[in-house]
Amino acid sequence: MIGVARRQRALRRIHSVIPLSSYYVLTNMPLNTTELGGRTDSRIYVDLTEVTEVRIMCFQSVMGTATSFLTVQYRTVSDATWRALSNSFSFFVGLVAIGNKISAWAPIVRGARGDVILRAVTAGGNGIVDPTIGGLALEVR
Amino acid sequence: MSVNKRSSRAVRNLPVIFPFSLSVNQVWNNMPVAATEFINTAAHRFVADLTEYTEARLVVNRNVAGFANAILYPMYSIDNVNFYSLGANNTPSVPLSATGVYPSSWVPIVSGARRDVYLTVVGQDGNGIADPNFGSIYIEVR
Repeated sequence: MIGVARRQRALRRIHSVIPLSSYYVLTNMPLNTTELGGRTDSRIYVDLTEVTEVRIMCFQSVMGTATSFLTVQYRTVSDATWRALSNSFSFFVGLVAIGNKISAWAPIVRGARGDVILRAVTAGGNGIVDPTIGGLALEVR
Repeated sequence: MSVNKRSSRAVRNLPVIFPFSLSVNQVWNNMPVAATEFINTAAHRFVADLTEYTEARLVVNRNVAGFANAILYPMYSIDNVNFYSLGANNTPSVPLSATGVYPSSWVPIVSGARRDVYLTVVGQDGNGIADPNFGSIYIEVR
């Protein structure tokens, strides 16, 4: 009976949420790939050793341009090159309209399964519009 | 057999993060020598159930370095009044002598903190002059 209870408790812990940023105004969001707001404040250092899938979530309160989107990159301590956390084409959230955003679950690349640094990046802005987001997080499982 | 596979998959050590502050450009003006709650405020305190966690580390994103000896470390409380180090001897700690996102070492959580606790982050060993600047600060547990 105790074993069953422990197993049930364990089964409830198969997801985890990694916060990336609270309220953020992406002032004059640029066209090119740019770290969140052009700042490094929101970089996260985390152990993804046992993570296999990820998805991005946030709430958007101010609209962006039709082509704007946000995704997440990683780098390792020993390699300064930023790379896509997932090679899936669906691993992003569009920043076009306001509302709750959530990407599809996507497999993470093997190189990210360890102690890594994460950053959110945006692209597709027009250098004028200021999309605004909050509660930006990465859910992992 | 399938139950064993499922349960072993479920108990993977997924990252568990308690955000302390996710703001940008947080400046601690004249960070003091004495142990002081982060930026002199209790506003970032939060509650977490650490019952089933044994180790913790503090991660600090440092935009501007502080005084050479300055550190940050987490503290816990069971009454939101008296606070104690989450690990032994003011650990896990992050030095503020450089910039960049920095994880402390993993340290054992003291036995008294393995329950429902209030958590905060404290700084000490500034020089009352330097103004370190911070991005995201959080506690990761496992």
